[in-house]
Amino acid sequence: MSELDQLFRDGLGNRKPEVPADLWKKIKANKATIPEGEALDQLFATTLANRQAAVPRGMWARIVAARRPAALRRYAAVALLFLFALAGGSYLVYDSLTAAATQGGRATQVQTDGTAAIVPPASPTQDRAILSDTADLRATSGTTATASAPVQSFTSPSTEESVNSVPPRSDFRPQQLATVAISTLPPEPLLLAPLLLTLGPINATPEGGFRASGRQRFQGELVLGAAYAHQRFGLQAEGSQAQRELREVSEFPEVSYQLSARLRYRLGGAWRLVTGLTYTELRNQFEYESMLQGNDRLLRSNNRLRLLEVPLLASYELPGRRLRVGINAGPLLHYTAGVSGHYLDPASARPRELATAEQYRRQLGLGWTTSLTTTYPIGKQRSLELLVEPFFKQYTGSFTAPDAALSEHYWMGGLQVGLRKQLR
Amino acid sequence: MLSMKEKELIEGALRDDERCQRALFDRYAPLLMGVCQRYCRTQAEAEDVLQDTFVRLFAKLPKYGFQGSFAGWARRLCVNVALKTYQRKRFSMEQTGLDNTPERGGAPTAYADLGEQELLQLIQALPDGYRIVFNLYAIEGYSHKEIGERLGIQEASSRSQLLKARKVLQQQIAHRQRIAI
Repeated sequence: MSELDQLFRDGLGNRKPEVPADLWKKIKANKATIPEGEALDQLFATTLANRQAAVPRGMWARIVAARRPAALRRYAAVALLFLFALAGGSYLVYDSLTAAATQGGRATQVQTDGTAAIVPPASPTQDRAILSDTADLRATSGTTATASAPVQSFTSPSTEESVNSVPPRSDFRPQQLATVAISTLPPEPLLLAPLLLTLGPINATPEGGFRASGRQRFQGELVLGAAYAHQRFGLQAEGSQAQRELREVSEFPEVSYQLSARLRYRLGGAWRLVTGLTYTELRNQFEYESMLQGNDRLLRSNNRLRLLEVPLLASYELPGRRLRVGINAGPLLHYTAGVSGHYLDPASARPRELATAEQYRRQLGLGWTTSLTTTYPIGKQRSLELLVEPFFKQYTGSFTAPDAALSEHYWMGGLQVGLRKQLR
Repeated sequence: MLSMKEKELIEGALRDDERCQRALFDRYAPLLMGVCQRYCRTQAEAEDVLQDTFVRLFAKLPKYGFQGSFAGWARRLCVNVALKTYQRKRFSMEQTGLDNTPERGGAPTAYADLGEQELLQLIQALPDGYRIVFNLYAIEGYSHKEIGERLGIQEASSRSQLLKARKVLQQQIAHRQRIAI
């Protein structure tokens, strides 16, 4: 054996190198057979069945936000029920009035100077004859009757024959005759009845003639309503996505409201023009979690956008007896009068104030609105009308300044109630 | 049997007391999040299911009626929400198969070292149909008949899905083990 061999033998012959710590574990694992069937199930079940996982931060806020629309749906359901009830009630009222008018046509008593005059049961032909009587009376009184032309145009040749066969009833006063004529119309010739009603109030002059009312064109309305205002953010600056996400999860719609004083001007036919002044408050709830004394606390406050609006609406009133429905639509001019509340900004540790952030513009804007007005007269004079009006409106522009990070848009839908008064 | 504190919390939540609702959430969210993660492929899906679970839980709380364990009731509700989420996605058992098995991933791990996280990853990597049937049968303890009724499939399909799920899981474990050693 050479000296070289001896050197290596002495150096390495009894050497005990370090064994990796996990070698036995690996050998054991390799030898262990992987479980099958129920045993495999058991492995997963024992480990994972009652496993608890970390809940992501902000999950509670997400749940609170997700539960909120349920409340809005409840409001919507109540509003829908109310509208259904209103529609059903109006149908019943209309139905009963129609029935009363039909019965009244069979035997109507008219008071004339304290004495009773009985109108005989009327057939449709005779009803038209009575109407034509009023036309005859007007002709004899020598006054101009705006209402008479359309009535005559709807008189058929057979009716005219019957007009000639019916003797004039000069002992009836014009107003009484009109009342009798309209109330005794059977439900079938409804083509005629709506036309009469759309002519506007028919006033009897002291001379005994008829004319369409030239006065009483103005009506005043006072309306108060609650609404849902939908807030929508748009990106105006680069990198504002984070702010939008923050605001979307921290601001939720509350019940907004508006108060209106309106003036209504009767144009020709069924058309009306409506304008006025509306105070609108768009409201949102602002929520954020703040660390107070080591605990997360959910803090809430209200955000408000206060607007003054001037709508200019065209209104078309559908014919009806006591219950009337009008469709309104038109533009509105709004002025942002003030803003208050808070919002979250990723660049700030604390919520910022809307009023001092100078994000909102204080200038005029445009929008449009549409509504469905249902009115029902109340009181003996019928000069006062109860008004129910579901409405929708949209503000076309953004409420924030052009240099703000986000644009803020709204639409609004709700229900308002109020009173309408005839102005003299 | 409900503890007094738990009963008070549930009664408070029924009165819409937000503090009680929050306390119930704090108590049961970790457990339900664990359930959601088993049924969902991703963390984002699991969070969505957890959110829907609590929304439904508070809405259906009047139906709980203090019958049985609240944790068990909440867990069943969570499983139902997870199943409905997948049914909404037009989940179809027939479309899943071994071909759809995702690429094997995860850190190499010997079988003996498989922990919660590794087992969860293996389940999450299963195709939707396998994962749901395996969860329902192996972990929740439903029978094939019940699974068939819940998912609207044949009992035989449920058995077949389970066998395939087990096979995939075994393959995945073996694969990880080979890499580890």
